[in-house]
Amino acid sequence: MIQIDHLIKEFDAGIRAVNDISLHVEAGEVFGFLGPNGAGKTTTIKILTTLLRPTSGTVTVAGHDVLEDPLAVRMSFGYVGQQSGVDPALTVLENMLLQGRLYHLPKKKIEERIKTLLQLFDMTGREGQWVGSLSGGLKRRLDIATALIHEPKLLFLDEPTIGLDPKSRADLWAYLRGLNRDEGMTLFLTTHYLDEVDQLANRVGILDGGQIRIVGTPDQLKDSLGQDAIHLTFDEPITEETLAAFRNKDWFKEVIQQGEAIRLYLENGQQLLPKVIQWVDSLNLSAKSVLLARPTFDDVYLKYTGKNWLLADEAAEEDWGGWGGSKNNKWAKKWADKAGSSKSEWVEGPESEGNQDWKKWAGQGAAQWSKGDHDPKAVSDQQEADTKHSPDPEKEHTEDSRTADSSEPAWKKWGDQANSEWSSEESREPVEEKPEKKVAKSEDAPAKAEADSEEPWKKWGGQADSNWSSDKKSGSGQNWSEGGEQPQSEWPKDDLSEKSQDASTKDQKE
Amino acid sequence: MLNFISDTRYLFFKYLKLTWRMPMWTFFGLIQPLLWLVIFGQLFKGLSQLPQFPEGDYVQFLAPGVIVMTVLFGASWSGVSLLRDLRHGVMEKMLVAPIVRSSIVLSRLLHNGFTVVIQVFLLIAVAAVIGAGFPKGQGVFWVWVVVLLLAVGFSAISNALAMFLKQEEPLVVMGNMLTLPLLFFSSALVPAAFMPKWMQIVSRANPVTYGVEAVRACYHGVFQQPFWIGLGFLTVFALISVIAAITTFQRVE
Repeated sequence: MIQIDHLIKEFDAGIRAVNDISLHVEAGEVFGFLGPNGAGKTTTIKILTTLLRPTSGTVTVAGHDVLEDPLAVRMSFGYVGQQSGVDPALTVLENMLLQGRLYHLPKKKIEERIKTLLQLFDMTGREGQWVGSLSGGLKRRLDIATALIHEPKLLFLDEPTIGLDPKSRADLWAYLRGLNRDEGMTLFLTTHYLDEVDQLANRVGILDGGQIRIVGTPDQLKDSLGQDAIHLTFDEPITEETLAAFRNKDWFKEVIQQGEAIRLYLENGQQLLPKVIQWVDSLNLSAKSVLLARPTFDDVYLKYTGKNWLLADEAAEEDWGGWGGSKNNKWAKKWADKAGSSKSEWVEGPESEGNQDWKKWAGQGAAQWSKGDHDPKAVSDQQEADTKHSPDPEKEHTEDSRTADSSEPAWKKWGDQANSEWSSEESREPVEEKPEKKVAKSEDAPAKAEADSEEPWKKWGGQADSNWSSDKKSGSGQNWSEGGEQPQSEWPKDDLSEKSQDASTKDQKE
Repeated sequence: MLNFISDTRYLFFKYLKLTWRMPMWTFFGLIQPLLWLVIFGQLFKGLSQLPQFPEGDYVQFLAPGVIVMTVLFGASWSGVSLLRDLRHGVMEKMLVAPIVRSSIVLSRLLHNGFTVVIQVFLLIAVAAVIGAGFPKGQGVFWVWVVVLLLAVGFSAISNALAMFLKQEEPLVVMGNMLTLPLLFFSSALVPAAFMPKWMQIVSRANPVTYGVEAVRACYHGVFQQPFWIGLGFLTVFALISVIAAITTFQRVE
């Protein structure tokens, strides 16, 4: 499906964003490109999608050379970029229609495809909805749906779940898996989330500094390190001699040092652990903590890029002007709080910044996510059920439409924006209380007015939302054009995407 | 070629739809020229008393100037919406589609021309109420041609700049930096005869001058050699700008 030979891409400054990459991707594969920001992932995908021209090397996509026959290449794939790509000022249907037109499909075919795709992505009934009012997760889904309008056999996804909350991510993964399994679609995705490749990819390439460090299945990569990993932390920095001693010991297949911590990879870790501790004591070292674990993708990543995933992500955050990661975490937190469940481990993980914690977090998160994976509809069904419970649909209209609408309603995105201007402490608290309040309100409507007057921002959010939701109800998506809410609601979003644009250009240049 | 036409058509309709949904912006764009018309009309009223002044009333003189100004200001913002498309990834999505890429630029320019034509239509009506009169004879037709050429030409420049600068702030700064001198180095606000010699010379190379004079000719209903020369100049200006915009667009990866 994809054949890359000695691909080099040089930008103006003579910097090689991609430095001699060769890669083959079979039809029907899910290939994940993993690497920190600036590794050359986006550049590679842009060359594959004919958005950039290679400096040298040959690239063939679906049997067509990207330089010789770019039009045939463009017909052969669907592309989901880092930014959303659907026009927020058009409705769902209009976006898809336009996309079909741009691929020169006959009208009948377009209508047929729209129907199929909306069904596939559980978006039937949202045709008339204005895209600007869709949640991040839904927008991404629409993004993928529009990218598939011309029935491509290959789909490129450039960091598809960036900026999504955990629930939306898990949903998206389920859809992508479905595309691969049911339609035999080849997926080529880039990401800097380790769990994403672990969850999705059949084969992974780790990219760093414009070069492929290793390619293999996730299990192969993990196994290459050995069965077990021992993480040791010391009180003082590890000296060269100590490190050499570890390296020379034949128990260990691999030794990686990180400041005051050291990671040892070995077979039979359980049996060797006591001996290892004794041996460490005999070196006159005292370990502050010892942890036995299975090698994870983080270890693989660490080995091949020399970067810890979490630390690399933090660096990436700086690259992004600091919004990317922290934003995710905040969303994750709010979502979890709202759901009222006890998923606090993986919510707090990233903020506690403990190198060990995140692992627990990743493991648990994965387990919980995978539960939801199989049925992305479950949540919305649940929410629909909620709507029915409401004793007074008229009064509860705004409240319920927030939740009923999607897993991450549009007002929330708004709210986040507005709140972040104020103290985050302040904004967090009311959100935490939300589930209880909502229940109380459905039983006792007058309480609503009281609550609203307590929190003016909330009222404001609600108002804005009621405009939107009336819009959704009518299904026309036209209301906003009269009121002029549209520019307002677009601004906060612009802010985000502007930064992501910066980041992507940066990514490109690097 | 067929694809080129259909691509341009669908994209043009899309942009039209966007404007249609935000009609306020089209109206807001008119507030400033109307203010100019009223405020400048009052401020420089005395000018018309001067012996060399070509028209009886300053508002009559000013109206064509303000029409061209509207075109100029409206068009100089058109690059901003290109950046909007770029930021939202909409542009990327268009670029990976098998469309003729120059249709992206062309549809944008046509759309800008169309919007400005509607603005000018409203402006002419308001100016007539204030006492500027209407274009006469053939002028009823030619005024649109002039406005369209100017709008396409200046939006092409704005789009090219947008592709080149890739950021909104510098684009807005550049836009302001270019539009005001273009306006003052033309006979939009004062007759050319009032300008110092060197400014007169500079104004001869300024498309705004030709635009203003052509619109003025439409108001007078006088179509002599200078009008046709001006129209020719504007046509060449629009063509060069469009070609420049398309090449910039295709060169930038």
